[in-house]
Amino acid sequence: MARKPKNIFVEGAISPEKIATSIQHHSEKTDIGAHSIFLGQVRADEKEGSVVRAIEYTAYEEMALQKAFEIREAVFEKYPLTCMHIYHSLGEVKTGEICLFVFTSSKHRKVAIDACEELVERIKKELPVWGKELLENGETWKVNT
Amino acid sequence: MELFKIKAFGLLAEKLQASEFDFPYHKDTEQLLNALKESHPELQSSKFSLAVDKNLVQQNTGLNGNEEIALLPPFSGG
Repeated sequence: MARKPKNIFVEGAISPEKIATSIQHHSEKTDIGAHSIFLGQVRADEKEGSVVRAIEYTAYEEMALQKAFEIREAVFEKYPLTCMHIYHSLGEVKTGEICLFVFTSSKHRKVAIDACEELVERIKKELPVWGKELLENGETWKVNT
Repeated sequence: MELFKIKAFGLLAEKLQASEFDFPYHKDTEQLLNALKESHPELQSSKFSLAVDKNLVQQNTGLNGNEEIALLPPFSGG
């Protein structure tokens, strides 16, 4: 079954309701025994004598979706997963809100956990997405560590 | 093709004050990069990668003028 590129982008923050609904949708897939979920949250770092109040995300969307598709295919190839979901915010996400949601499901825990970790690392490293930290007083471009 | 349409993102779009601009044709990515840095000195002090048709360029690549070129500062998603 050939998979097609999916949209991973969500305008603004990812709501806890969306995450709950996504978990709920898997209750019918009774061959799943383990879910692993990563949630990225915007942190109120101190920067340049000010504090981060939000991050504004932009992306080279067409390239990011193509790259996300390649990553998705590679991870599906490597791990026996039942399901995989990736959502990333675009636009403004305030501190304390969720900006990245990665969700993997499999029969057993190890596969779900390892696949989820690999996805998060590859998403942060390989997707052409940029975060601008909006400070209480000014702005600065985010640098991934 | 006489002109490339070049996309710029993030910090680079800010520095260049444009998210897309026209630029004369060059036959490969090395020549294009050199010409870009010459006409936009702000690029010389910037760390960025070049994408051709949505793929990161790892080595000098020939261009026919119909490619989509993009200037990408270091990624900072998530």
